[in-house]
Amino acid sequence: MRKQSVIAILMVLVFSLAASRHASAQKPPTPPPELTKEDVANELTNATKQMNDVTNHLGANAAAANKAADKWREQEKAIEKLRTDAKKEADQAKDLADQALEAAKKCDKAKYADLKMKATSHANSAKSMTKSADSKEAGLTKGMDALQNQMNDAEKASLKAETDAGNIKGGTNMAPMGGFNKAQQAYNDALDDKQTASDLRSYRITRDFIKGQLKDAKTDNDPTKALDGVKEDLDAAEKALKDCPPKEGAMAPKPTNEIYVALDTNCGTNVDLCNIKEGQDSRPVADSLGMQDCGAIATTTTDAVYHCPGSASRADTIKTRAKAKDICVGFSETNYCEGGAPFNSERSKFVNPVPIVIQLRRAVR
Amino acid sequence: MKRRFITTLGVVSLAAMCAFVSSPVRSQNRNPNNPYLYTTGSWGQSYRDQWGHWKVGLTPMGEGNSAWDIETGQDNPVVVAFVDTGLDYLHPQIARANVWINPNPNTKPSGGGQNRYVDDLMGWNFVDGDNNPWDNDGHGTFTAGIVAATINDGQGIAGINRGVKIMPLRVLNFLGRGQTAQIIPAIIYAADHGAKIINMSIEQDMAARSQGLQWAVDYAYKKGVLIVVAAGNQGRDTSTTSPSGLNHVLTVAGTDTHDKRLGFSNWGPSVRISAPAEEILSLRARKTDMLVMFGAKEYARRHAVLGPDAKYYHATGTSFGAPFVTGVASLILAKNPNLTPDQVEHMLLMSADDVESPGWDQLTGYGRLNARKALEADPNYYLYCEVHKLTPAKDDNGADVVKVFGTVRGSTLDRYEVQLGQANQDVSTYKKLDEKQGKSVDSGLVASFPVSEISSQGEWVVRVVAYDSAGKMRESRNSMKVE
Repeated sequence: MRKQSVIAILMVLVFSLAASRHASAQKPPTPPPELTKEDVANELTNATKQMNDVTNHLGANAAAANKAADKWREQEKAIEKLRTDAKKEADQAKDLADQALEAAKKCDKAKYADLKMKATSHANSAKSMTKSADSKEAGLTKGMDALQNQMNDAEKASLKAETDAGNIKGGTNMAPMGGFNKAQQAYNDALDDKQTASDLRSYRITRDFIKGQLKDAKTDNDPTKALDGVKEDLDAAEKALKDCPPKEGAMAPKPTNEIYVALDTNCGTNVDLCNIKEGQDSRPVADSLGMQDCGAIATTTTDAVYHCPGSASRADTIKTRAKAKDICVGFSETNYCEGGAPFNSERSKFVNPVPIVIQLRRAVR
Repeated sequence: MKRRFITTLGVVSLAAMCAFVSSPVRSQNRNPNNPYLYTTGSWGQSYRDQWGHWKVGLTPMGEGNSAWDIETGQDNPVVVAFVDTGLDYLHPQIARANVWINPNPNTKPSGGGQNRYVDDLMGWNFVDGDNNPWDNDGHGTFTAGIVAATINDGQGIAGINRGVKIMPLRVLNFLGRGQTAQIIPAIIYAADHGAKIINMSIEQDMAARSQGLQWAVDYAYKKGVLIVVAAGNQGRDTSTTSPSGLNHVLTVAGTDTHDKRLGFSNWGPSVRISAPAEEILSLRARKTDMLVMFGAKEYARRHAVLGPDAKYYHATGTSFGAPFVTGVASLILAKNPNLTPDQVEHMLLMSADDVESPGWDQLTGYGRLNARKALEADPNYYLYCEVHKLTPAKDDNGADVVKVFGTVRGSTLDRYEVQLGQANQDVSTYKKLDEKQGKSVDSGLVASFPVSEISSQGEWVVRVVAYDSAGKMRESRNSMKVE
C-alpha cells in the first residue's frame, strides 16, 4: 500500500515535469518585425540602385572577366606549382627525418644533428610555400567570384524587395515600384545581350574550371602527412639519442665546443623535494609545484633534486607553493652558476682579514 | 768491456741517454725516481720544482723522515673523486691503474635529467651529460696529478699516492666555470659510487652559502666521505662562501714556500688546515693552457707550460693546496681503510705544523699539513681550540662586555682558560679571566668578560688555552684594537 502511494506520487511528479517541459516548448515564436510602407519603399529604392549599378557595368565587367581568364589561369598554375614544390620539400624533409632517426638509433650524434637541421629546413620551406599558396588562392578566388557575387547580391536584394512589397497592403502600387520594375527589366535585357551572355558563360566556365584545378592541386599536394611524419621522426630520434651514450671504445679526448655565456644571470633554481619514498615517482610532486619544465638532477633514497630553468625568482614561488600544499622542500635556491676553479697566479694582491676593531673609548677607564 | 759499453750506447737514443745521464734519481738510486722531485729552478725559481712535497714530508724513501716510509698507498687503493674540469686520462703520468673503473656501469638510466649515467665507465661528465669526463681546461688534470701522477717511473713528477683510484667527475667547463646544478649531482654520484674522499678545488664567485651544496655535502659525509675543499682565492671570509664555508668540509688555505699564508687565500672560521699552493708543479692536460682559459691578463701564452714534451704546468692557487691534503688523507685511509672522515680530519689537523699565529688561526687553521706526522697521529685524539670572533656587547645587566666566540672541544678535554693581555707583552703576563672545566663549545660562546678588564687603549689579545687530561695544551688567539 505504502509502495503504491510512492509510485503514484512519482508518476504525478513525472507528469508534472513533462507538462512543464511541454509548456515551455509551445512558447509562441517571436513575430518578425512588422514591415512598414516606408521600409519597403527604402528597400525598393536600394534594390533599384543596386541593380542599375550592376546593369550599367554588366557588359563591360563580363567582357573584362572573360579577358581575365588567361591571367587567372596563369595565377592558378603558379599556385599549383607552389603546392607541388611544397609537397616535394615536405617529402624531402620526411626522407631526411627518416635518415636522422636511423642515425640517432645508431647514436651518430653528429650525423643526426646535420640531418635534423636539413630536415627542419626543408619542412620549414614546405610550410612557407603552402602558406603562400593558400594566401594566393584566396586572393584569386576572391577576384574570380567578384562579378558573380555582385550579380547574386543584386538579384537577392531585388527578390527580397519584391517579396516584401507583396506582403504589405498596397505595396505593389507604391511609387518606387515603377523604377524598380524598370531596373529589373534593364537587368534582364542586359543579360539577354548576346555578347554579355557569351562573356558571362565563358567567365563562369573558366572560373569553375580554375576552381576545380585549384582544388585538385591542393588535394594532390597536401604536405600535412609528410610534415607530421617529420615531427614524429625527430621526436623519436631525440628519445633514441638519450639511450645511447658513447661506448668505451669511443672514449677519447673531446674537442672544445662549448659556448659560455658569461653574462647569463638567469641560472635557474635548484629545488630539493624531500620525504620522497623509495620507489616513489617524484615527478607528480614536482608538477604539483608548477615545476613541469624542471628536470631531476640528483636522487637519493629520500630526496629528489630538480633544476628549473629561467629566473632565480622561482625559488621563492616554489617555496610558497610547497608551504601551501604542505609538500616537503629541503631547499629551493638560486642555481649559482658563477662557480669556478680558484687559481690565478696574478692574484698577487694581499687581502687580509678585516681587523677586529672594538670601539670602547667611552667604556675604557 | 769498453768496446761493449760503446756498442750499447750506440743503440740508445740521444734523448734517453741524456735523461739517463742527467737524472740524479737513478744515479743515487732514490725512490721515487721522478726527476722533478729533485730538480730546482726549472722555470727560474729559487726553490725545488716539487717543493710542496718536500715541505709536507713527501721526501725520498729510506732516509728516515718520509711519509712514504709509512704508507705509499700501493696495497690498499683508495677511491678519490675529483669534482673538477675532468681528467686527461691519456696523460703518460696518469696510469690506467690509477683511474677508477666502475665495476658496475649502468646499462639502464639511473640518474635524473641528463645525468642518466648509462655506461658510466670511469666517472661522469656533468657538463655535457655523457660518460666522457675529458679535461678541456687543464685544472682537473693538474689537481688530480698532484695526488695520482705515477711514482717511481723515472719521468716527470711524483704524485702522492701510488695506488689511488681517481674518479673524474667533470662539473666545470673548458673555462673552468660551472654551476651548483652540476656539482650537487656529482657529489651524490661520488658518495654513491664508493669514493672515500672528494676533492673540490672550486669556489663560488657569489658571496653565498649554497643550501644545495650543503645538502649534497651532508649526504656524502653521512656516507663516510671526507670532503676536502680549497679555501678560495678571493681574499675574503669563508663563512659566506661555498663550498669552503660549508659544514662537514675540510677547508684548506694556501701557504707559500716560507709557510706564510698566500695573500689571496680566503680566511675565516672554516679554515682548518693549510698546504703548499704557490707555484705548484703538476700535470698539463693536452692542448690546455689553463691560465689562458682563465683569462689571466698578464700571462704570456704557454709561459707556465714545462718540459720538452709540454706535459707539465706550474700554477698558484688554493686549488692546488687542497690536493696535498687529499693525497695525504688518501694515504691515511690506505693505511687504515676503516677510519671515519672525522678521524682522518683529527689526524690531519692535530699533526699539522703550526704556522702564522700560535695555535689555530683564521689564516692557516691548525697549521700547514705534515704528511708523516699525520700518518702517525692517533685517529681518536683531538683537542680543538679556536677563537673565531670577538664582539663588544652588553650583558643581561646592561654592562659592557666582550664576547668571545669559537670552538673548544677535545677527546679528553680537561679545561680551558680565557686570558687577556696587551699585544706587545709576553703571554706569561696575560691575565686569566676565566676557566671552565670540561665544557665543550662548538662554534658558540666560549667566554664573556667585562670591558673594565681592559685598562688602556691599543692592541689587546684574547688567548684561549685548552688542556686535555694529560696536560697537553692547544691555544688560539684573536686580537682587538681598542680605541
